[in-house]
Amino acid sequence: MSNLAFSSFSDFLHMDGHGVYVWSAYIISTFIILLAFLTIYRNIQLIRKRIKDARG
Amino acid sequence: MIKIFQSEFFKLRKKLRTWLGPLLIMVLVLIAFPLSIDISQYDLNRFYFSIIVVALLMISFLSTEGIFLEDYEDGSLEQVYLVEQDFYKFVLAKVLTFVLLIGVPMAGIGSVFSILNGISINEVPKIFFMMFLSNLLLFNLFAFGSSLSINKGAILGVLATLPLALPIIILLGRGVRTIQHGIGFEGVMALMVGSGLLVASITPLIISATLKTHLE
Amino acid sequence: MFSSFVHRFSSPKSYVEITRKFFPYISLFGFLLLLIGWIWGLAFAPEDAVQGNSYRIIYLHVPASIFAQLVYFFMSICALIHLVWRVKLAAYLIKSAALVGAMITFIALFSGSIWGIPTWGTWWQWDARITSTLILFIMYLGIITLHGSFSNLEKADRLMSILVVVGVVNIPIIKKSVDWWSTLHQSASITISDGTSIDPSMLYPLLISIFGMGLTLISLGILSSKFYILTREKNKKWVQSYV
Repeated sequence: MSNLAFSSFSDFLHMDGHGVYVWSAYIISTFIILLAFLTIYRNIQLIRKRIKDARG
Repeated sequence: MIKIFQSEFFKLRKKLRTWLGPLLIMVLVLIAFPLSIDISQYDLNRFYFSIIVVALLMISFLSTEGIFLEDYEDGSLEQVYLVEQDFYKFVLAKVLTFVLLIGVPMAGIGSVFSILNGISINEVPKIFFMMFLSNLLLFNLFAFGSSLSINKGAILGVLATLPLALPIIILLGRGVRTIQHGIGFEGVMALMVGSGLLVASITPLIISATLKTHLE
Repeated sequence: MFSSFVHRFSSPKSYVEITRKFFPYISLFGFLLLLIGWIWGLAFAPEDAVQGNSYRIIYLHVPASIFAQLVYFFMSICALIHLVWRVKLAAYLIKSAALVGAMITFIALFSGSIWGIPTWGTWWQWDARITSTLILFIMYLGIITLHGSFSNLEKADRLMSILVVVGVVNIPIIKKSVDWWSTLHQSASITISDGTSIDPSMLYPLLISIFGMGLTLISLGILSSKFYILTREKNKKWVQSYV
């Protein structure tokens, strides 16, 4: 823990005023990637169901 | 080969709308721009040339849109395939026809209007030659884009090939600056001639492959 | 002889079965590495002398930019395989990879843009790197749109492959010409401190983030290709028994 670049958690969020940019970039990008995983996974389930139903 | 070229030339010359239309639009756009701004406020010399370059880009896209459409729809493409098994000569003739009948006058119009940008009369031939080479590149590129989306509409071709047109634009802009500043022209010219010859000989091969895909 | 080798290993069925086995490991390992890299970079790496704390976006932006281009190169290899050996799986992979590529290119643009605000004071700057990334993004969109507009899918596959190959030849041309063009403008590019060397305390989290991002994107690509293969091959017998 001695290597932490920030002295407190609120410091970590604030990042000398740059926190807004850093955090919005990471959070939105992570959101996009997670959304991609979830969407494709859901689509796979949907198409598997459709194939099963068609097969009968 | 000469015969194919001649027949394509006469075919295009007859279709006034296809070649005269884009030229008139180009003139209109180049006149409209200064009319739309306050000339006393802006020094036209400094950026009028960008308008000319963008006009070249758009009009070359416009003129090659649907370049193969008619032949695709009326069966002439199949005819060519039956006879030649390959579209190289046909595409080469067609694209060169377009470049000569539309691209050359476009370069002429552009170089005349470039005088408005402060280019001196002595330099006009250089500008003309540069624009001609850019048109050679652009027409080949957009003919390729048009062959991809033969009957699916124009927007597809733009989206697919516009990114590839940007280096040509950058090169042309750079060339103009070398003329305005007086040095470096030979380098840009060499690059343009080299890439022009390369692209003009290779693109028909690629377009040929694309057309064969459409006929399968 | 070589082509029969290629054909044996290119059946969509074996591809789906093999990737299914590896997917959990690749995705978990990828997420883990990415998380470690990011936490290290965000909380433990030292502040930059020139840019302060905003440089930390590098652990997101650089991996994204790298893979924005690598995904395209992957697609171009698939395109060559498809055009030369007529391997259908290769075409399926191009289509699935294009979506992943477009996404990560967007993230690269987006993160680069946000980074620009504290660094240059503006969210857009016509410098060489961000402009060529924008062009790359448009190329991805063009490929996806082209393929989507043909009802004859075999034809769409071949046209898409041709476009991808023509595009890959252009990427170095575009990069060089945009670079050339932007040297006329005195724009500051994204550099860390002196720009030529990066301190190890910042380099290691960056490398970890790059690997983590790579594995994450590969797993996303596996998922995407599985979906697309099921869609395209849904009438085949192996799919019927697979589901």
